[in-house]
Parts: sequence; structure tokens; C-alpha cells
Amino acid sequence: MHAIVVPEVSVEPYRVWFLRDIRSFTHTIEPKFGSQAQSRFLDQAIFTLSTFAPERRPDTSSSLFREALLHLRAARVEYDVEVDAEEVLEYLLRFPDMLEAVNQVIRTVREHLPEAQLELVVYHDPEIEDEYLVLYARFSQYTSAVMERIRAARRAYSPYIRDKSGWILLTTDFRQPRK
Amino acid sequence: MGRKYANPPIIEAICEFRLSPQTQWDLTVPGLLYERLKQEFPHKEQRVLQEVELTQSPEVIQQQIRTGERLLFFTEGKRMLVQVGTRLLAVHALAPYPNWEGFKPRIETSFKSLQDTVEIHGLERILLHYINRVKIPTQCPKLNEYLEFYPFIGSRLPTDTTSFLMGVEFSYADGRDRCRVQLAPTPSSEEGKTVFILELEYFLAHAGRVAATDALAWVEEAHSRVEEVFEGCITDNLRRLFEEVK
Repeated sequence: MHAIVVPEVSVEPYRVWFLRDIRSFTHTIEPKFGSQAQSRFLDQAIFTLSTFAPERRPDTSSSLFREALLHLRAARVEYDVEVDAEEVLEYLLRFPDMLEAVNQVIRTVREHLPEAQLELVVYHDPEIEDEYLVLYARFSQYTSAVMERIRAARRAYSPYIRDKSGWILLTTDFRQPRK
Repeated sequence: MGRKYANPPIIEAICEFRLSPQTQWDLTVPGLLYERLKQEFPHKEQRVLQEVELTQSPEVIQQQIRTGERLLFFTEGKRMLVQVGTRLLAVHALAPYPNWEGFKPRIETSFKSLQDTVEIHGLERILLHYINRVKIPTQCPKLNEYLEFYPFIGSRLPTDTTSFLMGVEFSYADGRDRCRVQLAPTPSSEEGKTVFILELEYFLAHAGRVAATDALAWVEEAHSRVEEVFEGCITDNLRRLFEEVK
């Protein structure tokens, strides 16, 4: 004879998470369970074993690693940026004050260059043993206005990276967007 | 004393204290804390964040969104930091991990500064969290050669796995504490290497069961447990990769 154990349904909060940039995340966590919000929720839930435990569970820690993961996921999902996740994650943990800044830069660049294909990578400069983030913007047509628009986007995001320990540069390699 | 490694896999260690709602907290607390901590953590950064709380009842799921602020105080090299939010203090160490003898004093200083700044009326939660990035130099490693914590897959199941997530919670101190261990593969850009994230979270599972005066002793004990569990998760092959220092 097997006993069926029905877990008590708790009225305690069963999931709490924090997001660093209200503007960038608002669309994904608006108070309804749209397909995007749900998938993000499930995605993140893989880090929380206790999601389904019946009693009150402690929420997740304030880990920068987890925060960086959220930011990179937002870059991909919200702003359609290709990201070299492993390297960028490593970079962000080496320069943790860049976490918030990168998020702001990506949002700003996307506002300025809505049609560009964006790719975020870590650039290794072999000459001076330096490395920094590069956000490549690629366009199907390179008109004379492209570089001016890139410069305008750089001016717009520059306040976010002032006095940071790391660096991010928006540029183009004049390649065609990947299909 | 636990084992020491020249090439430890720790990418982040966090010690977090969440104070009870009965603890008085106002907007001046982070600034006062910074005054006490600025010699060790001189670089200050402010962030706005949004907390989303979902409450489940039999009929509905309710969502509450709160806006808050966090202050981050970084050390000179930005390898360690303190996060301060409403009734929250978290001390972080990033890679390269300075070992426990390097991390513990920062936790102690930060928590004592908090005690000197606010009257703590209970701890809702304490947590010691280690995130390890375990890199194995083969494409499809046999997990049991490197780990003693891995998923068991029965013989009638497919052998080609693309991913997995494994987690267990162990109970300690008569259920007062728990240690959550999670293992999952993560994409690797390095060819021929397999990477896993192994997380160990030792936390106070019952609010208020540890007094503020005992919090640092709890952290020391938590560290011992985490060390035991970590050593229990790995084999000598991994110890060799981490380059154990004898």
C-alpha cells in the first residue's frame, strides 16, 4: 500500500529574484505569464532546487555570477545580441563593476542601431596584453552614415563606462550580418 | 584544516546575512556602513534593482514588484566586495579565491561593522555559497573518474545525454541548516574541454534559529561543512587538476 503524499500548498513566496535594470527587464517580467516571462522563469528555476519544496525556501543569493548570467541572457533575448558567453562571463567577473555598465551600453546601442546585428566578444589585444569587450555592429549596407551613427551611440553610452575598471567599445568590422 | 589548491575552481564565494523584518533599517545605514568599511572597500557603486516576489496560493499567483537600491563597496583590486541592501549584507570574493584565511576576515569585519551600525533583531537567513567552475580536459569525460556527485542513469536509458541538472539538499544541525549541492554542465568555448558548474550553498533553513552574536561561529561551521561536501564531490583526478598543495 503506497501512501500518497500531497505537498501542502504554501502561501509563502515561492520565488524571489532580483533584476538590476528595471528598464531592460520590464518587458520580460510584466505581471502576467506571457510565453517569454514563463520561459525565463523556468530557465532561471534550474538554479533553484527548492522551487517546488512545500515549506518556505530561502531565495537565491546575491551572486554576481548569477547576475552576470541574467544580464547575458537579457542581452540575447531582449536585445538580440550574439554573446560569447563563456569569455564575456569571465570578463565580467574579472571587472565586476562592468556588469551594470554593459547592460546599459547594450540597451543604449540597441536604441541607436535597431537594425544592426550585434555581437559581444572579448577582444584580446596581443600587442599590449590587454583585453576588453567589443560590441560589433553589423549592417547589410554600409552607407556613409553608419560610422556617424556608431559614434553617436558611443557618445550616448560613454557616461555608463566612466571610471569603470574595464572597457567596452562599439565598432564595426564591416562584415555582413550572419544569417 | 581543509585541502588547499594552487588552481582552485572557485569563481565566486558569497557570505550573506539577511536580517529579520524586526530589525530597524533606514536609508542612512548603507552610508554609515561605508564609513566603517571604506578603508578595506574604498570603491563605492550604487545600483537600482527590482525585486519580484511571486506568492502562490491555491487559487492565484500574486506578483509584487519592489524597487530597491544596492550599494556595492569594492576592494582596491575589485576582487572582493560588499553588497548592502535593505536588511542585507553580502560579502563576495571573486576569482582568484584568496582562500578561507583571506576571505573570513573580510566577512568578520563586515558583519561586525553591521552590528556596530544597527541593532540586529534576529537573522532571517545566513548563507555561505561557493560557485565552482570545473574544467575537465576531455570532450566526453566519464563523470565517475572526476566526480563522486553525478547523475545515475539506468542501463535502460539512452547513453547520449546532451545536458543534465542535478541537485541535492543535505540536512545539518538537526534540520536547522541545509547544504544544497547542484551540478550542471555549461557551454565551453575551448575545444576538447568539458565544463561544469558545481554550486554549494550552505544556509540557515529556519529563520531566527541563530542569534546575531553566534552568526560568525555559524559561518565558520558552515565553511567546514562546505569543505567536507566539496571534497566529497570530487575524486583525486580533479584534485590533481586543481593542483593540491601539500
